Amino acid sequence: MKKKLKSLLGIASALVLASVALAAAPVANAAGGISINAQPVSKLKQGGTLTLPILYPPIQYNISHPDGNDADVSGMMGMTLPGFIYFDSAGKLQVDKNYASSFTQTKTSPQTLSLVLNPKAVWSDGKKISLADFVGTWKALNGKNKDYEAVSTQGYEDIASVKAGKANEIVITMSKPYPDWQALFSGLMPTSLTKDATTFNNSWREKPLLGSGPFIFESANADQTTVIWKKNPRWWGPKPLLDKVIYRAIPPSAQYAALANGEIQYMDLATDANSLKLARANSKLQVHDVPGVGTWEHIDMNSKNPILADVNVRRAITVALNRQVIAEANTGLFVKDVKVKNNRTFYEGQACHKDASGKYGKKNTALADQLLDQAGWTVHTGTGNDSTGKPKVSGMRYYSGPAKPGLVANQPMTIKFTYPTNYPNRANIATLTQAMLRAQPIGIDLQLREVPRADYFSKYVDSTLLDFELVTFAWSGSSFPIAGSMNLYAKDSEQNYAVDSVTAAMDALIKKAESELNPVKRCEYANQVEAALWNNAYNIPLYMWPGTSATTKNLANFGSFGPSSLDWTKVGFTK
Amino acid sequence: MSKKNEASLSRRQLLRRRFFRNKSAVFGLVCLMIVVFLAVFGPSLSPWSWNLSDENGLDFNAFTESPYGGGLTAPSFDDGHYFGTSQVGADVFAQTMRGLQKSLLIGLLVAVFSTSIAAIVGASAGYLMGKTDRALMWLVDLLLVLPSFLLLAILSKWYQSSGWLLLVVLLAIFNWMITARIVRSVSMSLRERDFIRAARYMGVPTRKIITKHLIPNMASLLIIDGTLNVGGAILSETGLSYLGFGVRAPDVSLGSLIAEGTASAITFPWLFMFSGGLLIITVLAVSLIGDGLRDAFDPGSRSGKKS
Repeated sequence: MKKKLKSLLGIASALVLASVALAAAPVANAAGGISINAQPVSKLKQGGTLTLPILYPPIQYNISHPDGNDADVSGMMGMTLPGFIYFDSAGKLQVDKNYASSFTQTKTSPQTLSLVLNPKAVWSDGKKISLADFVGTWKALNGKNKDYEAVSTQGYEDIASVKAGKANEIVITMSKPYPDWQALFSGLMPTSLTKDATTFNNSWREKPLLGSGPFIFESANADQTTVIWKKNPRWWGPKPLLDKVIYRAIPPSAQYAALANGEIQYMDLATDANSLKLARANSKLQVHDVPGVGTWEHIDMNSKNPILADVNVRRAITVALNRQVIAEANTGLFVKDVKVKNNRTFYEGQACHKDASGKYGKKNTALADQLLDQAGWTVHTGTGNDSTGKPKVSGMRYYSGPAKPGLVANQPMTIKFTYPTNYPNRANIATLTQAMLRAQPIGIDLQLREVPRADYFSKYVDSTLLDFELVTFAWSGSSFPIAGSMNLYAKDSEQNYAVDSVTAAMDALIKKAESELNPVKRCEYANQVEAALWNNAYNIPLYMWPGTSATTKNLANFGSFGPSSLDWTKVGFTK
Repeated sequence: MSKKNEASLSRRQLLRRRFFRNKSAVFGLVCLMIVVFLAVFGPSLSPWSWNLSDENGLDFNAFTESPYGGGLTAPSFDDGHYFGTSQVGADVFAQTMRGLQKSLLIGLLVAVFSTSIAAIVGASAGYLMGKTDRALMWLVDLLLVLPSFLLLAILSKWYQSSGWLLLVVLLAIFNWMITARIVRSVSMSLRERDFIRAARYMGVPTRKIITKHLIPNMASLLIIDGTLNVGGAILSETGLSYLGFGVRAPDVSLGSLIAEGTASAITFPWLFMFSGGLLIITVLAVSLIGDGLRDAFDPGSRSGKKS
């Protein structure tokens, strides 16, 4: 069973991978989306402290536990947990030589993987990284022992055995082909964390007890609003420049002021137009303008709701929206050529990307009108009362179709749009959706429901509670797009917010795309799934979040990484 | 003007003359007239609608014309966006006028309601004394210690779904107590006056004494207080709407517009300064008029003293 993903950020990640960005082979990346003030290490100052903002204080440092599945915590743990791959500046997948000399597939049937460890690789307590750590991680994440609250069992559930090979070699045999095998064991856990379920679930809640990368945990204050990382004295790789990395919890509204004052040296600008304008005008700051490659915003429709259960209603809502306008409003300040997202799995520029939207991809009021009539929702003219006894409003829609569970004759077509407080971009989406759905001839009475930002994901946008009708949030992109994306739509996935919108035939196709080893065929299957999702109006993809960020001008090798990975040993300040 | 001349004027003429002699009060009156004019006729001066669902609610051209990105355009007369457009392509002028209308309407209604409640309760307590007085003053004290803003915020879920008139009633309920106390003390002194005593001994029923004799004799006090209450009520409403507890989308009030625009106060000032400026002008104008009225009714009290 897959555990439910909880996200504090508003972005639940499809696959939990620390510090790795997008796309494995065969999915080639659009190169050039990187802006990090790249400088050779020799030109940089030795030492310095980098302070970075986080949104919420960490409540769990074990990123394989649902409470630790948060972009901020994943970012921190990325500098300390072993990972065997990274993405170079061209976005190509490479083996991280600090940890492994090779990571290859040696046999396809049964799929067998060989990973040769760097013999120098040690944990911060001096113990060597060894087979036991791999076995422990596999057993904690394979879903066999339900007491381990694992965030995802993907990949690990298909491992048949993890054994020692030749010197320093780990041999992994799969029971079922897993195309994204390179994603395995990223963020490897020490045996001291995986020895039993209670330790796994609870021992890293206050602080990570062990690390191995260039930086290790030093201290955090009592409420975890400041987390300090120091150099790892046992690190065997290239020495990092920075002395310390400090994470401070700062609400988004205060981040720009903190950056301008020099309290922090970096901030993400993907959603805040006002900070962007201020940052562009500030000569002390550098704005990194790159197209987004990961996070994408969408509207989810609750298929359990009696009104939205009808596929024609969902299709009508999809084509009633002018998605281009929504994308312009929220990203027009960041990117020149605003494009709507027409493929949930791939982004534009990736080799497999295809516009899969078909006839539901463009605004089409006439089609929306016709689909709503077909679904039994007719526009009211004249007089009369609705099912609640209130007088009908001319131009709005009321139910006149056959009786269905949850629907009665003359029921007003009232649905609610749930969005969080203090989130201008999501309020914009809500406002625009309301305007577009209430407009003639659509006539859907869309009401706005603003809920506390802190409760947004825990109480409303939750795949089991489903306390919403229409809702907007974002998914972060995965380094392995097909696996990440299919994991959102599979019928048994706990990340699936609209299980009823996925038919059995679609689910079979999703399963095929998940386990196909041939890269070309796999892309085809994934795009077939896309077309089916569009046709069934599963959700409404809106746009990619821009990859914009701002740093102080003296910070080097840090900023907007696009599809590449962050190398902590190169981050530093100019002389 | 000589004393003799003044004496020959009717009371009303005298008041008018005193009021118009007060420059700041006249300034306030002119401002208020402009603001009311805008609230009433403003929406029809613009080719755009405040209601985003209307055909002319969103300007889709703004997205292509915007030099900033999104739907943001600065104020201009070319396409009828006198106050510019917002990030979603909504006309700020139309929205501000609608918000002004809503805030003024709510402010005026709350002032009328709360002053009426204050007059009736205060006069009854002051005139009847005894148990009625104790009971009513107990109620006043109770309402005074209640954290009204918090209560309204908690109740917002309920009144927001039943329309803005309920918000008016609730704001009025929490707004009359101070005035009621002043009215009570004035009534207590008035009840010992000969004309009230005469009415009482002639057997005029209590209700009639209060409505026909007591309250008209406090008219000046009530007019002044009512005027000053308008400003307070507008501020309460905008405060609630600012925090999301008042008027809700798709409708707008000055408070909700200010809340939306605050973050852009420096970057895209037109989203903030018009609604903010109008709120300041309105409340200032009402206060100046209230002060002017007080000075006119009671030349002995000069501005700065509490009425």
